[in-house]
Parts: sequence; structure tokens; C-alpha cells
Amino acid sequence: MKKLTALSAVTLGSLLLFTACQEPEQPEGEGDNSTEAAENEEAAEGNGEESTEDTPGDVDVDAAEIVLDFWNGFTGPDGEDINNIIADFNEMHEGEIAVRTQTMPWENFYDQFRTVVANDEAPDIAIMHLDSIAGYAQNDTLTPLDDLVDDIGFEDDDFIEEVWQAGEFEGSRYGIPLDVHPLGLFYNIDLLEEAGYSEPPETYDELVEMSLAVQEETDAYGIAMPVFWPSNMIFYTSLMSHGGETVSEDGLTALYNSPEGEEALQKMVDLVYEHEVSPADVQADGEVTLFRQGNSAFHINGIWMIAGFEDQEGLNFGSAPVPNFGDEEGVWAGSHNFVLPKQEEEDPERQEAAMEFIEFVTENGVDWAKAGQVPASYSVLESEEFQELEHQYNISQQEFIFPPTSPYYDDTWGPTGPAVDEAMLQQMTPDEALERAAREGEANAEQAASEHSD
Amino acid sequence: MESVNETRPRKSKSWKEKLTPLLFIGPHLFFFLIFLAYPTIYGLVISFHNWNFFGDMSFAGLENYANILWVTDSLYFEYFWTAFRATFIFVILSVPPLIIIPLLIAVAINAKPPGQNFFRALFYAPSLLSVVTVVLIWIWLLDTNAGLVNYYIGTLGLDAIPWLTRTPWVWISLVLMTIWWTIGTNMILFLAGLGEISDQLYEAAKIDGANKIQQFFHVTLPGLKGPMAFVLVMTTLASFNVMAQPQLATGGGPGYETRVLILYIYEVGFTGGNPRAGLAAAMSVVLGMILLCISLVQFKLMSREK
Repeated sequence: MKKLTALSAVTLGSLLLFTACQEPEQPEGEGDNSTEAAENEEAAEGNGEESTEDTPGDVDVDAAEIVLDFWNGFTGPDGEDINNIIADFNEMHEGEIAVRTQTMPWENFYDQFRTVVANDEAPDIAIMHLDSIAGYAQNDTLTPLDDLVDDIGFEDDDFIEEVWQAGEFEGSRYGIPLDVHPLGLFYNIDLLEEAGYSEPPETYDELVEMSLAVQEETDAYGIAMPVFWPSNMIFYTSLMSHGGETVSEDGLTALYNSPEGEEALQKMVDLVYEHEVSPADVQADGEVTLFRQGNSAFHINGIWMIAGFEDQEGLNFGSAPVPNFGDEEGVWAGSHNFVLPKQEEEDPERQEAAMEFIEFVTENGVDWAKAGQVPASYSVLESEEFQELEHQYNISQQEFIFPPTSPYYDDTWGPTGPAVDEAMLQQMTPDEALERAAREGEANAEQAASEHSD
Repeated sequence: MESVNETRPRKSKSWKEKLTPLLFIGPHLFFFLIFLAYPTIYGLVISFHNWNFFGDMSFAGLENYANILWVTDSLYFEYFWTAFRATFIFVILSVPPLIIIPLLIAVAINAKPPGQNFFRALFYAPSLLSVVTVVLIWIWLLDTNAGLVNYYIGTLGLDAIPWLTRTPWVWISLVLMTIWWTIGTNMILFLAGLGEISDQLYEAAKIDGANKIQQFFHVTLPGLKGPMAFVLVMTTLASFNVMAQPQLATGGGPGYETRVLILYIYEVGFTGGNPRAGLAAAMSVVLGMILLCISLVQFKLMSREK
């Protein structure tokens, strides 16, 4: 017995030590995307698999006539921001509508979503990523919103046109955008100053020039180009800037294996091996570490990194649009969308209440923007309050390009992930890598489409 | 009359005797049926269908199996066997050290050196951590440009090692973190086995003039046959089922190098806009069969030796 106590005491001690050591690397922000790596990041960061239920606000749920279930994956600090907005809504509608949230990591969200909709236990409202909507709409799990949008008098021209259009699939609307989350450029103000610059680069050439200057004047790298995720989001952005296209409208044909695609990818590879302004072999999250430590001057990543970088002591950073790798403007962007999952029996009153809630949240978009997002509506985008959010505002000043709304986009585009990895390691030339990705992606999509038409 | 009186309680006792074990097994049987038997059979059924979790299953016959087993120009054939190769590499690299190292540690601790409890706890502690924690610690340590390991390698004047981006280093890193994480469990099993070996055997060996090394090979190892078979089979199975380490540390990369079977099955079945439950189930069945064969062979080999 004595042995056992001694053993467990030591074990406990060392365990505490481990957790203590590990804590500081947690605030990774919300890796927000439907790609795998992002989900991993979230799984890594969240408190595991659990989901939490909550009714924000100081209200009596039982007194409400309608209780709406709202599912989302905001497990990070952004969960608190959305809860604050919901609390206001609940307090305003006390006795009438109460919104009850269910929060879980995104991968669990999508797994469970399938199950509950199939069993007719779907929540009233959910948040879904833009690029997932088409697939779920095609499988008849989402409610078309056209009539509801008309009834409530949603002003569609108040939304950024591209993101509003992206919520449509086969002529019907399924999503109402909550926000836009693009890639952006983060830069280390101190390092740039030492190198003699005060403004961030706007083009690829400027990026290279400033990076070389930084490496000349300091011990830091110019930029750290990731090998793994989000490298293929950077590729997407570079591809857009070169005037290339991702996949065809129907999602079945790859268009990225083009001369534009090759050049777009080559320029990323060149940053490492030709211009030597980035270290090679930057592993998962390695680029984030270098930027946090002040060991790289530039960093391309999603807008969701803002909160994490703001918390980083001693990091004096600025934000800007991603420099144009080619001649055109254009940047990868994702979007969180409200959707109404399909119910076996539709209840117009509940739907109306749900729309009222959605309208309330989008109108209060500036509170959500503080969580590190770009609001999707012009009225908020142009508000003074939003313009005061320095980083969010800077990163919003870009041309957002969303992927085509096709249920097969993911199948066709997906294989660019490993392909870009191998190109970034120079295990394949950009040409070979993209050709392989296109071959695999088209086979994937074809198979998926044939299964669906069965 | 007397005889009747005697037999009666005996009869009811034998009835009770029969029922009591069932009562103990019952709960387990219940959970076994619900959580293992039913899903296994259901998985088998799914593997003969095309299904995306919504809508209805459509019967596909052997199509899913064909795509991974004999239609060699199918994309899934290529992916499946690449993933199988990755899994196999991991098994080959991880199983031997996962047996030898814990065995040596167990023997050392069993010799009762000072501070043995401390060491026992030290080696066992990592097993208590979640895989996410373990991988994060190691990613941090092995970072190519900012990690502690490469820092020390740098002070020796050597080039930085791309631990988590290039072969063969990715494999070494994955095996390294797995060893650190799981040796404790095997060590405890070996320690239990060592405790069972009678001291008289060692004394007899000593009298016969056997040195320490001879004692190890002729007394310790044969004495550990039972635990060894168990550890070998369980470790092999666990290594075949590896998923979280490559998923978190390398995302299956570079390219498809470390995309192991379970990770690939998960991708096919649960990610993207078009999950393919049927294909994923077929892959799981094939993997299950392979594991069954390997375990049988291992048990046969271990029990044949005297």
C-alpha cells in the first residue's frame, strides 16, 4: 500500500509538471476551416470531445414560449463572444424566445449533425462552414431559406455580394453569412523598422526585398512558409492572384493544374529555395512559433490568429492584406453561415423565431468581429466601431474569393493539400504535384458524383 | 425421507450455482452485444453498400472490396495500399523497441535499485497523458527551426534535422513519441511477470554457474513467456491501430507518407462533403481480417515453443 501511495504521488507530481509545461502553447486561436488540419488543431486545443449546453443571459428558459436549439463549433474564446450576443437576445425576448446553445468541436459537430438530422432530432439553427453547405444541401438536410428571407425582409444587398451568393446552391438559398474569415499578412513592426521599412509589402517582389533586408539587418527570417496546412490556402491565394481558377462550377474538373497554378506554386517554393527568405522544413505550426518568438518578420495565416498574437507578450505586430503573388488581387476566404437544419415537420413559428435570431446576430456583427472575424454586412463593415478594430479592419481590405458552391469541391480540391506539401519540400516539381492532385481529385469527385446519382 | 431432505438444498444450490456466474457475466454480455457485436455486424453490412449516412443505402455487392483489393487502377487501391505500407512501416519500427525497452527497464527495476519506485512512476507517468498532450510536447521539442532538440544538435555544429517533415525522420519522430508515451504499460506487465518467477530458479542457475546474461536468457525470458505473448500481440494490434500521432504531428504528410490506415479510413468515412461509409467499412473489415491473422500466427508461434 505504501508503495502504491508513493507511486501515485510521484506520478501525480510529474503529471502536474507536464501540464504546466504545456499550457503556454495552447492559445492557438481558432483554427477555423473545414480542412483536416484545422480540425486537428481544434481538437488539440479544445478540452477534448465534450459538448456543452448553455442558455446565455439572465432568463428563465421554462417561461419562454419557444426554445430554440442552436448548434455551433465555437469552442475557443469566440464562444464567449457569441454567447454575449445571445444573452442580449434572450434578455430582449424574455418569455417569448430563448436560444439554447450546444457547443462542440467542429469535427464532432459535423459527425453528430449527420446523425441527428437523419433521426429527426435536428437543432433549430446551426452554424456551418460555407464550403460544407452544398454537400449538406444536396443530401436534403438543410431547409431552403428563400421564402423566409423574403418574409423577414432581409436586405441582401447589405451583404458582401460574393459571400451572399456563395450561400446559394442550385438556385436556392441555404446559408446566411455570419462573417468572413480571410487570410491576411501579419508582420513584425520592430523587425521591419530595423530593416528600414515602415509599411508592409504589397507585392511578391516587395515581400522578397523586405525579407532580404530583414535577414541582412537582424537574426530573424523574412517569412516562414509552412509545409503543411495552411500551405494550400496560401496556394489558393497565390493561384487567385495569378488569375487561375480552383475547380469548375460543377466541382468535377480540376482547373488548378494550369500554367497559372504552376507559377503560383513555384513562387511559394522559390521563397524557400531560390530567394532563401524562408527556412525549409517548417513543420505543423512551426511558422506560428517563429512569428510569436519574433524570429520571422512576416507571417501569412487566417484572421483567426489575431487574438493569439495580441496575447503574445513582446510581440509588436501589424496586419495587412496578403501581398499579391501575381498581378491580380484575391485572397482565400471562408465564412461561417447560419443554416436551418431540415425538420420532419416544419413549424413556421419556430422558423420565424429562428430568422429573428439570425437577423439580430448579423445586425450586431461588430460584437462578433471583436472575436477576430470580418463581418459579412456592409452596414457593419462601414461602421466606425468596426474600423476601430485595427487588425480586423486591415485584413478586411481585400478581394475575397470563395470556392465554388459545389458538393464536389472538397473532393477535387482536397488532394492539393499533400501535393503542395511535397512541392514545398521539393520532393516533386509544382507541375508534377498539381497534375497528381488533379488526377486524384477528379477521380474522387467522379466517384462521389456517380454514387450520388445511383 | 432423509435422502430427499438432503438432495433438495443441493438441487437448489446447483441451480443457483449455474445462475450466479451468468449474473456476473450478464452486464458485460449486454454491453458486448450493444457496443461490439452489433456495430461489428452492422459494419459488415455497410461494407456491402454505398452509403453517405443520409438517405438510403444502396447495395453495391463486392464493389467496395473490389476497389481496394483487386481493381488495381482504382484510386482507392492506390490509397489503401499506400496507407497499408505506412501502417506497416510504423509497426515494424515501433513493435521491437516497444518490447525490448520496457523489458530491460522492468528487469532493471526488478533488481530493486535505490529509488525503484521513483523510476517505476517516472516511466509509467507518460502513459497517463492523453495522446494530444504527448504529441504537442514532442512537436514543440522537435520543431525544425525553434525546437530544443535541434538547438542542441546545432550547438554540436550539426545541421538541423527535419524531424517532422521528411522521411525517414518523420518515422523516427513518430516512433520516438510513441515509445515515450507507451513503454510504461508494457513495463508494468513485464514487472508483474518478473514477480512470478521463483527466486529458486535463479539460485539454481547460479549454483550451476550461470552468469547474469545466461540467467536472463535461460531463466528470465522463458519465465516471461505468458506476459510476452500477451504484450507482443497487444502491442502489435495497438501499433496497427495508430492514428492520432500522425494525424496531429504530420497530418499524414509529407504527401501521403504517414497517412496510416486508420487515419485514411477516418478520412474516407467521416470527412469531406461526401463521406463513404461503405468503402470505409470495407477497409475496416479488411484491416480487421489482417489483424486477426497476424494475432493468430503470433499466438501459435508463442505457444508452440516450449
